[in-house]
Amino acid sequence: MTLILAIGVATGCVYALVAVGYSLIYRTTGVVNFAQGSYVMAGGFSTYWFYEIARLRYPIAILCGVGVSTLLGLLLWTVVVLPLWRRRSPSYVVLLETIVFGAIVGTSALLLLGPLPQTLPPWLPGFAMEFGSNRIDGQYVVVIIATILLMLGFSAILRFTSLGRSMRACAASRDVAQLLGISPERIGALAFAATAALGGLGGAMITPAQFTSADIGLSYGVFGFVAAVLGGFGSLSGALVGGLILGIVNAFVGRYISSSYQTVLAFGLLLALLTLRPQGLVGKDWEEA
Amino acid sequence: MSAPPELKLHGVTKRFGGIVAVTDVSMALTAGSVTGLIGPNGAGKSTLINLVSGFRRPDTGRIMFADHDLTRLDPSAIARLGISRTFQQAAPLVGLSVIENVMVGLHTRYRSGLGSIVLRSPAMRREARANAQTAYALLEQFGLAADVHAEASDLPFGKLRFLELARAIGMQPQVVLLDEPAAGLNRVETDRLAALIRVLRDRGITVLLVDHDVPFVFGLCDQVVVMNFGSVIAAGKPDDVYGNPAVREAYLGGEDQEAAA
Repeated sequence: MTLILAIGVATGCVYALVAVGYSLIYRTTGVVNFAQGSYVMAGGFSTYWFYEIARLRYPIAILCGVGVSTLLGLLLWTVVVLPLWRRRSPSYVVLLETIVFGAIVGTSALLLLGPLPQTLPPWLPGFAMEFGSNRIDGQYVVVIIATILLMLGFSAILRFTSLGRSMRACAASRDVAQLLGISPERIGALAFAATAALGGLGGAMITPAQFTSADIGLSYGVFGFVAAVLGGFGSLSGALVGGLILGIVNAFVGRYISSSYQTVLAFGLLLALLTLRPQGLVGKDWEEA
Repeated sequence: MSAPPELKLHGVTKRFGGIVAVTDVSMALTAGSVTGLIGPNGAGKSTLINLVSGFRRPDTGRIMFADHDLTRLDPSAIARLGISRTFQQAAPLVGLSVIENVMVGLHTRYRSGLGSIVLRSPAMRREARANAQTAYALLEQFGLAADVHAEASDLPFGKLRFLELARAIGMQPQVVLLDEPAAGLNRVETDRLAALIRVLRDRGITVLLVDHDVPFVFGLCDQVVVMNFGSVIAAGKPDDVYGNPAVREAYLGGEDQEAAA
């Protein structure tokens, strides 16, 4: 029971990191980026490659893995989204292109690293927590604490730095932001890079606790999106709440019913909530989070 | 501070579909002067401001500021060159406080590198403090000292206009384009606005003032340009323009109607 809760909270944290990505990208650029989940796969899988195959030291391998995912985000922005954005292409075209990009990333990973799931050693070897008779893998604790710190750091940057102010200005109105000398294209590049780094780090963190494989990008993308909408699209704290609820529900459904019902239940939850509260659970403006 | 460069339009034309919004407009804004731009609704005044600030691109013609061809630049680059503007519909940045609205613009003028922002270097901290002080001083001058921490979008209409103006001035512009700044203001607020525009001119800032309020414009401006159906029909000193028969015909005859609108 405690173990399943820990698994749920930790996967929920990764959903939350993905959900923050959806929100930030949507608010600053107006793009719904369905490639968001592929960063989780790319971060975890390339960390595996740098550690097990290139034989780098573990912390360096993690940094490189997050770097690969960040570069993917920048690539997606500069090569795919920005040209469409400049031409003011309809949003469904941009959305489709991000799905295609995510699929290409997944397929490339499959070709490069094969279809087998892979895992990584824990970040803190030997660390575990005891709750009565339950023993919880230390990596889950690492994921939970790191996510909390990342979220706090992220919202502090948005709140208190001039860079964060520029991002919020862009989110409020791209026209006015431009008039104040802010380049939305630069902010877009930053947002894509930052959210890709967050997703990649999420992937590198969760892999030691579970596993990674070439095809997990899609499910993280979908569950992250559901988490973002559950919490109230655009809200930071909402992303966390939505991610946690979804992670916990998924873990219990997977354990006591069947993992094949996870998606159905996640979407059922989403439909029910959107009917009752269209603005999401938290549903505050993103800037206030 | 050296005199700011002149802003010049050469044969600027803009069409929207089959409609010609601005036809072959040429004008020069003398550095440090206030130019009024008047004309009936649909005369092309707002389009002209959108062209100068880069929100629209002219189909033909050039807009020059010093050696820069503005028609090739995007709005943020034009803003960084020192040309700022206000919008006809007050456009506060929702979710940012009043002082943050002003600080966003300040920061783009004294930009710290990304590295120092991330590292929170001492230079950047100093700059952030100085920015907050500058923004506060500016808001005080615009009568918004009591509202600095309010949500910008919660301000009443008149204050929003002044916030917008403070935000534009915060960029330390050389040219300000004001799109109907007096619309919806009461008498007291309009007088205050006029006083502020005079302060801007005395600081050597070039002002382009678009407005419907004819006495307001004529009382403030060194030069008046009159547009009708996308073309300039008269330009010159306020007194000369006021006496121009074409202007009286096209515009001043409809003044009562405009004022009521």
